[in-house]
Amino acid sequence: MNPKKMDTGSKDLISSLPDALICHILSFLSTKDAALTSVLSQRWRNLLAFVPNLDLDNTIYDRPKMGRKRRRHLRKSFKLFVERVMALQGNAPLNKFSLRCKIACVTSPVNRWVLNALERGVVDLDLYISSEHEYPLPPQVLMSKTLVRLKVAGTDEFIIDVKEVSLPKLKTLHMNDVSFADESGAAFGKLVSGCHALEELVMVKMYWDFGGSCSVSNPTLKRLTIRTPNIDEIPESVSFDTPNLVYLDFTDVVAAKYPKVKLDSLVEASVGIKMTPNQVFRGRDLVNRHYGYKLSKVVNATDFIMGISNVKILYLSSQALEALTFCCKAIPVFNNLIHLTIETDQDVDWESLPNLLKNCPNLETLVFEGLHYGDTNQCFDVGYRFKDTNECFVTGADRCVCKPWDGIPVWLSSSPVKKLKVLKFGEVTYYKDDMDKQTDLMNYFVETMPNLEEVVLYYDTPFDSDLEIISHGFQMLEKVASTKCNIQVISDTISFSTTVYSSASSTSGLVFFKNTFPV
Amino acid sequence: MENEKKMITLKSSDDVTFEVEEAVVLESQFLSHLVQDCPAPEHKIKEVTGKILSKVVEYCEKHVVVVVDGGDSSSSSGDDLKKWDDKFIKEMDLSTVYDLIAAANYLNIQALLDLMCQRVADVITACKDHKEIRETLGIVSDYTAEEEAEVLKENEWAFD
Repeated sequence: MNPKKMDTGSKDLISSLPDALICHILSFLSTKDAALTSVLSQRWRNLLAFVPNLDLDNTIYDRPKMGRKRRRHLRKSFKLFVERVMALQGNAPLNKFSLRCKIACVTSPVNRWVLNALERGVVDLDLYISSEHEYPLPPQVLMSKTLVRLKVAGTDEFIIDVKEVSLPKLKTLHMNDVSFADESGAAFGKLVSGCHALEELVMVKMYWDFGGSCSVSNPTLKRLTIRTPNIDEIPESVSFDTPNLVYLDFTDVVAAKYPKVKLDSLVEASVGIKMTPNQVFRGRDLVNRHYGYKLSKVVNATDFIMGISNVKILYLSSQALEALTFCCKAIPVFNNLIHLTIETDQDVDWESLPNLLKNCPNLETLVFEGLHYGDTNQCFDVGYRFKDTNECFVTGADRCVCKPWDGIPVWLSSSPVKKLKVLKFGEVTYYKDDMDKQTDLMNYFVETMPNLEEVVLYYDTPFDSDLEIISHGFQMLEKVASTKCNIQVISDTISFSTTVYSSASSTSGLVFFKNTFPV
Repeated sequence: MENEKKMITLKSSDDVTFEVEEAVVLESQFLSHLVQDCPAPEHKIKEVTGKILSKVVEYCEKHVVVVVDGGDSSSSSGDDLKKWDDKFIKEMDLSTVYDLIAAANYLNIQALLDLMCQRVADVITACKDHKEIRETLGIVSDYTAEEEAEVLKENEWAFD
């Protein structure tokens, strides 16, 4: 029998490990927890000297209850701690340096700490700096020969002034809510094209294309996320020269033009292009006044949409769905598209959807996030209700009978879609929303789409009986377009499954599984 | 034959033997060099006991990268593997964890080393203060009261 198998009680066995291995353990702790271990015993006192990862956070003191004096004291002890650890570590190589810091004064030591990390060949630098005054990123950061990952975040007072860029090893660059000294797009362009090994770029809550023409140009880039805040400013020109990009997540105000969109390798795109609030208002107003849909003369997303038409997987936000209507002259054929997700909104109508779906000849899975659509004739709006063209309350209907389409459109009756999913089915967010509208629409899909094999509704409701009612409803359908279609209605706790066939008489019984689908 | 899997015998310090496929041995940098440099059928590993070696073998057998042309069914998927890892460490007492850290370091199996170190780190994180860490890890302080006060002051930031 192995003697070590005996109960070791509280014997100090960890100390039998060599320092290097204890330090390796410490590298899995936050620096705060690692610092705690200094107090354990003499042996642990300075082990922090050999830990190659440092994460330091002084924002944890920003608790509202804390008194001013106490806060100032802790800030000071934070500073002392960092200085001590830096001194302890000397020139030892540093792998990761993460600093979350609130800067109160200009003479902050933060710069010195960052430079120290750079000098020690830091590979992974993660800076969150919140400052009331302008805080420029030390220019040396953009000249690091060792950085592989760089993350900068903070407030818009955290400024990146792009002068010289040489980041030969940088693979990942994240920027969140910081500012470029030059907002015209030139600074951004220079930064991105100066990273010769860049594979992932994430830029959120930033103005990058203010008035100028800008371009994302990088031959190695594989994943790109750009999400800008809502503004009324229209970018002049946006280009993508990223031939190896595989994934694009792009939310930005629709630009005047997209002169170059080179995205030959793109597989997946999440598109959230949006019109300015002004454009949205004007667009909807014209439709509601029955002047119809008018293409924007100022902005044009056609070339952008054309550029992403090779994708296999596409997500469209409701804003993008609306932008397609007003800013896109023609929708290209998405020959490779097999998986399409569409976010819906009770204020956004489905005008562009038929044209899009008509041009997806190989689509297999269609997902709706919510099942809302805007009524284009404002049937709930007293001001428009009695217009001649308004037919939503005909023959004494007690509710709006508007459908997104009239009759049975060819693009639905010849749809290749095999799997239809609805997330947030039954969600009612607004007075215009109506549960019956959603049920009608689902029935309509099952009645019309000939290749459906599977329908899944995620229905978040506290009442299990709601699901049963919906599920039953499908069995009552007089007509089913596909030969055999399995329909599941799923909530957190329960799921119902039913199979319907094109000949209505052979509808199978309702099967239900309790807790079989933990969603 | 190509299809015949090459087997290798590992012998622990207390002479417990384990017969494993060559692919399993390759998970360890140390062993893969050993096997390449000295093509004997049996290798004695003096630094590791049978109890610990059995754990190492169990881990490597689970993590071995199976290259089968079958596709999906071949190797365990990332999620399953993580679940397995969680269970693997949950059932282990700290003294075994330390021995595995030493063994993984010696045999140069980075993923196992990291998994075990993470486990100790999690134990430390779960403690509410340094006294509890001492108790859990069985460490006896050799600081004088003055020294301890000094170290506490140096690290005051971490103690809030």
